[in-house]
Amino acid sequence: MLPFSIELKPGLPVAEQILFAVKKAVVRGQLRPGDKFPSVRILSQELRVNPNTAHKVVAALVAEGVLVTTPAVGSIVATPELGGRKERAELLGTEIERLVVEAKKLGLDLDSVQDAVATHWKKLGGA
Amino acid sequence: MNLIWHIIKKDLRRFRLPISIWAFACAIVLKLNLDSALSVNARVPTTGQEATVLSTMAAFMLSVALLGWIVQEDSLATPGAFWQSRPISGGQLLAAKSLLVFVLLVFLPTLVDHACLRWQHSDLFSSHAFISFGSGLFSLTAIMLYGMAIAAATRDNGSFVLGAIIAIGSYLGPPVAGILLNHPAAPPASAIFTSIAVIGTGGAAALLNQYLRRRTRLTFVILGATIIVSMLVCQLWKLPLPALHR
Amino acid sequence: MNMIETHNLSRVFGRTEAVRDLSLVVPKGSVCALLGPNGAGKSTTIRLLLNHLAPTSGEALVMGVDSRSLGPDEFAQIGYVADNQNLPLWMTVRQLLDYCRPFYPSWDTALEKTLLARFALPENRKLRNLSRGMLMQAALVSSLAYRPKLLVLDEPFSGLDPVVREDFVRGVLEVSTPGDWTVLVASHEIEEVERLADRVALLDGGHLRLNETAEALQARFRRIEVALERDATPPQSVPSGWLGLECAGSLVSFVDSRYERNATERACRERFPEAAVTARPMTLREIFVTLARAGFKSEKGIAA
Repeated sequence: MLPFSIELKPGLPVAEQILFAVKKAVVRGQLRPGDKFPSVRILSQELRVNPNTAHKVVAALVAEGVLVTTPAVGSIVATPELGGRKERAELLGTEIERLVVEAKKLGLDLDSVQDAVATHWKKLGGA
Repeated sequence: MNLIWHIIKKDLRRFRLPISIWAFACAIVLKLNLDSALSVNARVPTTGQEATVLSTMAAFMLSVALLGWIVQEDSLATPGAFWQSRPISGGQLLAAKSLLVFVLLVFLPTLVDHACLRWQHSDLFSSHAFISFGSGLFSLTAIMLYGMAIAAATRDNGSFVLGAIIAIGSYLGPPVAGILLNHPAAPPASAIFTSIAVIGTGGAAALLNQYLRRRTRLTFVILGATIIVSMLVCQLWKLPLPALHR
Repeated sequence: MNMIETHNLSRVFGRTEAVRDLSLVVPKGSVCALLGPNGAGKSTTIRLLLNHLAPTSGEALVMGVDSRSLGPDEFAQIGYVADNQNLPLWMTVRQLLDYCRPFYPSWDTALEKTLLARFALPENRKLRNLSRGMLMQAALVSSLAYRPKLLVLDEPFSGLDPVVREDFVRGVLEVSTPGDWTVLVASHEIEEVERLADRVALLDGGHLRLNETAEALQARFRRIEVALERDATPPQSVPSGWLGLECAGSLVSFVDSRYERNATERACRERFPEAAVTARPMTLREIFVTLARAGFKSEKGIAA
């Protein structure tokens, strides 16, 4: 069993789905800083995915600073490095752009979008 | 060498029941032979003779069946047989099968049979005994090699038996025809000896081809050519070629 | 280095060309799914690669060696599991493993024990008395215990229930070593191999129609839905990559096999000026079915 929830859906790139699930788990608190992260082999066996894919995912998570490799233990969840608020908001830039484009295509107005964001924010815990 | 013995052990385990039955049949044949040899003076009842013939035939047929089963257990003529994706070389397989068939079906029976007979006649270590043993071994080995080659080139028991019947029929055809046509002249021992040697050599060549190269069609060609050549050798003695008469 | 390479491999049975002109590459370290309908030539290809059959023309190189010259040195590093495998059914599980062990220098007894425990196989039962699932698992143990560099699986999932399938895949992944371990899986069970494979090769009627990474394949296929203001009519001409175009009511739907965000959006705008366009990624099964229905006309052969 894996220490984070994930449900792989066919059709979407597997690596992306795993990456997203891990990041979501960190946000929700399922994975806390210092927690041991499963090895590549366990990851590939539990999810029944190509070990190369699992390897790539772990490497990406390390590169993005979500995980840290320690020599003895393996990969552990990293302590989030809090940069400036403005910097972090900038990182969200692409996602926000995508959200706005989708919303406009669906014909939603700013208020509805803000409501939806608030709902999801609450669902994932925290203020 | 370890691996060859490993394969032989596997075959012995696989066929322990048929081998036991066959050994039992051989024991009966041996006993009957010894009995009839002993009762030289006494009137031998016909049932005894029938029993000997029947049990000898049974033992022989079992030998042929065993030879087919042992060789075809690790078939070379069926694509995708179990050993073909495993690191078992054709040479190892050939060595293992030949050794088992030779010792079990040729060497031991011939040895036991000759030893018992010679012991009865009290000339166990005479040169006559050795020659008789040697030539018996030689002929049986030649037939064994040829029979193994047929089994290695055929896919199942049925085809093997068919092939064996065809081979035997072809070899015995001319002599039988000769007898039927009232030309019962038998070729001299040297001609028969040579023709058996041809069969053994052809069989060995076919076996090597089948186990090392797996060219089944070529195996059949070799087997066919061998029979033809050996038949010719038997018939050639009739021609006025002085060298062959010796 | 390529684990498997074929050059114009062909095999003819009587008058049927089971495999035609196949030029396939399986790089080392990849998990390649060989897909295709029944009779596409997948099993024949595998038998050619392992020298159970000789090619009628062309050649196949496995681990750098011509398939016709494969010998014990190579087979000691190859694992092969297939449906209908000619296992010695008279042996028990234990006897099978004991028989195979001495032939493999790299046999790992600890791994053998682990796999037996994982599959919960009854060691002293004869192979012929095992259920189909257990038989495949026994075959798998006997082909994994020596950590083969190349694992070839031919329809390993047929007739197996979902639980056994999962266990099977986990067992296979038990010996994986990223980079040094190559798998070729032939199957028409697409879902099982979808997560596992990083390369996809598609066979149809003996021809190789596709041979690319799963990533590339997924990136270039999208199901497109166009919502129009009025009743939909099929446009005059469509790009060659568009397949299975259908109209119903005010919706137009098709599959773009050469999807590229800007190019596709432009092509859509040209034909459907004020429509809302949605592009959805497709599962491997959907891609395969779409291609099969379109007769593989959009694929001319091997892509990168």
